[in-house]
Amino acid sequence: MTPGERRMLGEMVTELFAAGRAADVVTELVASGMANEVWSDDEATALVLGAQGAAVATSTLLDHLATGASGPSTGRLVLPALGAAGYAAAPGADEAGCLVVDGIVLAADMTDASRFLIGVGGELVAVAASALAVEPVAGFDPDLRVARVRGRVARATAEAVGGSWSATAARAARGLAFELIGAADAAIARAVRHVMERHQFGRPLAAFQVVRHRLAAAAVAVAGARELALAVGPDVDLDEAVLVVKAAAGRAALIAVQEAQQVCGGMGFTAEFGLHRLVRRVYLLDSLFGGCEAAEVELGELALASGRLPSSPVAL
Amino acid sequence: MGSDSARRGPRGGRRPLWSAVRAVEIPQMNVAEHAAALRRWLAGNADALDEYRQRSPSGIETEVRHDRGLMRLLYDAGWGRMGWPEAAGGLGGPAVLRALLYDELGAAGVEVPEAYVMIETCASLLVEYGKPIAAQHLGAFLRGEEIWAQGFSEPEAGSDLAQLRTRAVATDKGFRLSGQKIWTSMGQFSRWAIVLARTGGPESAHRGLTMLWVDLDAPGVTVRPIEASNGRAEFAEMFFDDVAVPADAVIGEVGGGWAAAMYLLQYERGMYAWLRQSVLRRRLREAAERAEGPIGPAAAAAFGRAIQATAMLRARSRRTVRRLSGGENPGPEISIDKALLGAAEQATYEALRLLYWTGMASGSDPRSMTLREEWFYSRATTIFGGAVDVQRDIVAERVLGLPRVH
Repeated sequence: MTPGERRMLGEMVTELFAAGRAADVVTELVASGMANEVWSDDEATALVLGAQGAAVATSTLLDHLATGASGPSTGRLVLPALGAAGYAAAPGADEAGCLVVDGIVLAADMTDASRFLIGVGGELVAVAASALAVEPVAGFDPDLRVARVRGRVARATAEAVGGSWSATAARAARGLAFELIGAADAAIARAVRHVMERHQFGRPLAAFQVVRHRLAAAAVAVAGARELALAVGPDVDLDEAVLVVKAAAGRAALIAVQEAQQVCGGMGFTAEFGLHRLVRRVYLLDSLFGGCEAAEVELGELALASGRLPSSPVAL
Repeated sequence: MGSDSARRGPRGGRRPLWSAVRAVEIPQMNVAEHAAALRRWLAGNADALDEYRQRSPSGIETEVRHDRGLMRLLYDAGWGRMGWPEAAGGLGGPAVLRALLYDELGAAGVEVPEAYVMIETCASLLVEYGKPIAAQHLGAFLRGEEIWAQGFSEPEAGSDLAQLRTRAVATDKGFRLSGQKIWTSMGQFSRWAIVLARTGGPESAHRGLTMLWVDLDAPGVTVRPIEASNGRAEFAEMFFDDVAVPADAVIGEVGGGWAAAMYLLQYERGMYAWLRQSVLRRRLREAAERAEGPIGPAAAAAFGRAIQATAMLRARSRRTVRRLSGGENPGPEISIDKALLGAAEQATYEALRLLYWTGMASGSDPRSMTLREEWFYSRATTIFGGAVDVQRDIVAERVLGLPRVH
């Protein structure tokens, strides 16, 4: 894509997300056949998922990014359950001829597809939606419309759809990184606006160095995470996608919303101000595939036990 | 030091490779192909490189001697000349070829010479603002025969550099230079220095500065090493007592010193960050390779954070290196690179401290001694080259767009 095309894409998705028309973003991108062009362009991928994060919007975009051609026209992607053991354990397990499923879907209200796509072992299989129980979990971030997907089906009824779980999960994790970064950007931007408007001690809050440094430090963390997610490309392996790329984005986003909440003071805690929606979104997205704090430990253990760094250096 | 003792190139193999390197059209050469050729050379000359794999705990003098030997070897093979203009003793090609050398040295388990940091800062400036000086001197630096120093900071002008007081008074033959510079890396080993001095009035701030090329053997120059908290003389102070500096020693224009300094700082912040990520990544890789026994969660988490921080630094400075190599000015955003560098340095050495504390606290083996020194040095990485606090000021104003305050 040319920079001009990306700019137009950015304007379109930002406008639609802001108008609460997330479903239309999916339709626009998928129906026009533009989605694959977007996913093969790192900057455009960052832009679209970032806009979703910034708007605290909810859609099936992540499924499209993660599953590509095998994807959402035929099924919704099931992600590991919240609090699942292991940082990217497949939500499906083989048990005595059965496929046992325990996972979640996001944007559950947009689940009009007839099938779920489920990682089991190394592969990705499709299971009829009617065979599994779908239970909405309002919880921490009701706007995300999370639903738990559980059930047990005969293994033979699950149809292999091609594609591997690890590659799918890695793309989803990188997509989440971009979404987290978009939300972090929005939190910093909201805080910047607030500290310029709000005066105390006869000066705008923005004139206080401690306020400036909090936001600058957050901006540095977000810039580093963004650069990393862009640089690794879409074929990054699972360990690196989850434990390095997404964890760095999660950490940066936690810093961003934390500093934003601090400098926005009491206003930031009102429902009207709206910052809480970004806070909820960031913490929920960070926890998918395991949160950034756990990732640091797992990454360190993995490297020290295997005697090698899991991340491959991005070529100059 | 004599160039003969430094000429310890790879036996055999050197000449044929040299010819091969000469034959290629470097500017057109694909970076990946270039990297592959460099990797082949590093692997093919592993024996000759063996003596350059570890830092010397026996003192900075030994290390500087080491650096000179390795630079000579890389110069003779051609790799140490790539990315520098042919007119200045290089082999031409974009600056990204220099970045590639630093990266591949680290990947091949070879210590990147500290003197390359000084080349990146001083020579990057000279090839743009002081071409005749570069033409005359850069070859000697690339061969490891000369080291140059950067004289910016003063006792009363650190983060607030524009307040510097070293004066260069115009004479009919050039200038008389008087004042003091401090925190000069490798100053005690340097033959020449780039000195930022005031040629305008005392109130001229950043407008009245001029960059000068100063002979450190000239009468009136005194250089004194400063012992740092890690026990090594990492830097020096330079005293100038009415030193005669010729008119053709001006780098850029009289009164244009601030612009020259800002140009240099891009390389100091951008290329240096890239060079260091190569070293940090190597430290982490080798720490993972030799890790054994039960590892506690604190050390594991710190190690994970260090991997993340160096990966972010690499991704960020990769873009900056490409921009610099393409002749683009990254502008104030380079403060982000500098802040990420400090974070990666400290995350790495904190992880190594937690992993190897017993040796670091009580060991007298070379590895423990080196780790102690490097850990202490990492404490300074959020100070030198512009404190992280100043970088945050710049990010707040120039990147986030918060109003200017003073």
